[in-house]
Amino acid sequence: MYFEAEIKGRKYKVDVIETKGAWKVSLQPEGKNWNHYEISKTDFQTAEEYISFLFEGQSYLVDVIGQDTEYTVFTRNSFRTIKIFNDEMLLHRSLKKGGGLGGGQDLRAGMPGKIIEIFVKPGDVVKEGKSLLIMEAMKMENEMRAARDVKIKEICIKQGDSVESGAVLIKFEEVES
Amino acid sequence: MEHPITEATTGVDLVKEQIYVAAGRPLSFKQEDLKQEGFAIEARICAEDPITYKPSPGVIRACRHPQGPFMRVDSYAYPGYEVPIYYDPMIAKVITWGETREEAINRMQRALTEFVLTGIKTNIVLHKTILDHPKFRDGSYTTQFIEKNFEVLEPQLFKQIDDPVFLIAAAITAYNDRKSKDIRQLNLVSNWKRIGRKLVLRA
Repeated sequence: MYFEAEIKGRKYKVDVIETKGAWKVSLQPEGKNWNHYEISKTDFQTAEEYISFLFEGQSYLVDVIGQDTEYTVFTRNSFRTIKIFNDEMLLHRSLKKGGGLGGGQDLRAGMPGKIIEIFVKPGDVVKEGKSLLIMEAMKMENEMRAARDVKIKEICIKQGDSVESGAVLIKFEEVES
Repeated sequence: MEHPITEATTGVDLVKEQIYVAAGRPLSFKQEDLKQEGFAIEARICAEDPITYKPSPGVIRACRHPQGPFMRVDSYAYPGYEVPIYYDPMIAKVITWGETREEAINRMQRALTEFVLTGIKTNIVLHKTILDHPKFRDGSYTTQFIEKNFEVLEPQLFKQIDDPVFLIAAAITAYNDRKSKDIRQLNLVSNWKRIGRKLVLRA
């Protein structure tokens, strides 16, 4: 199965082949040569909730969370978020690019938290750097500001709401000049 | 001073003494009874992103605490526990003791290496990186250590493990996820086909 993956801004082509006793995984960092790894299935086993992975003489306890196109891999107290697409998704993504409005049309929560205060209302035109709202997580208040000049289209939350990471908080539209 | 540090180097249970004092009893020891021995260090394990320092609440999946001599772990983490958004992000304290400062630090390194905590981002990897830093090792650091050394620290956080480990694990998981969704795997045969075959065999 062929994938394209991205880890910390580095792009890789990935190929996974399953045989009876082994995984054959090939990785190609962008602009470099393919590296081929053959991993015996006895070296990559799921135990309870996590994976015991023996790789190049080292033992890793790996936990993979996620689905579809984004996985977070934890091991040895390090973690990486990896975007991974297969052929079909690559197609969808390229189609989306054609018709979209372009990124940055909404303000999203970077972490789970609670909305303490909202400073704007729909229809407001705000300048870059203006406070939009205050969100609290773990006894810390975080002020979220406008990254550029925008017009507020819709406010999707109200004061006191608890939000998940990635939730859309405010929708923007471009300022008519 | 953090109380576990004092407790490790003096052998006195400070919290117990505090409760006694609150109950009106005198302290069970005098200043001259106290003898400090060795060095202790404490690492506060917090649910936060080690790069952006943003809190990272969520559900803990795997959790295994370090074990061994000259070590104390005060923790409330266990698999399945949800670190809530309401309190501060500290989830555990690891304290190690050694006859010398170096020994205490080495023991802390070992303890943090053994600590397994997945599902949420923690600052364990940041602690490990700081403990390895020459400025921390020779004791010439200040309270501005992180600010001044951020550029050095940040890439070090990612040096501990190479990309292929993460990529292979993610790729095999992605492969398995997609395979289980592929209906061809279910071996569904059309009933029309099955009956058709049966009729032909009967004839």
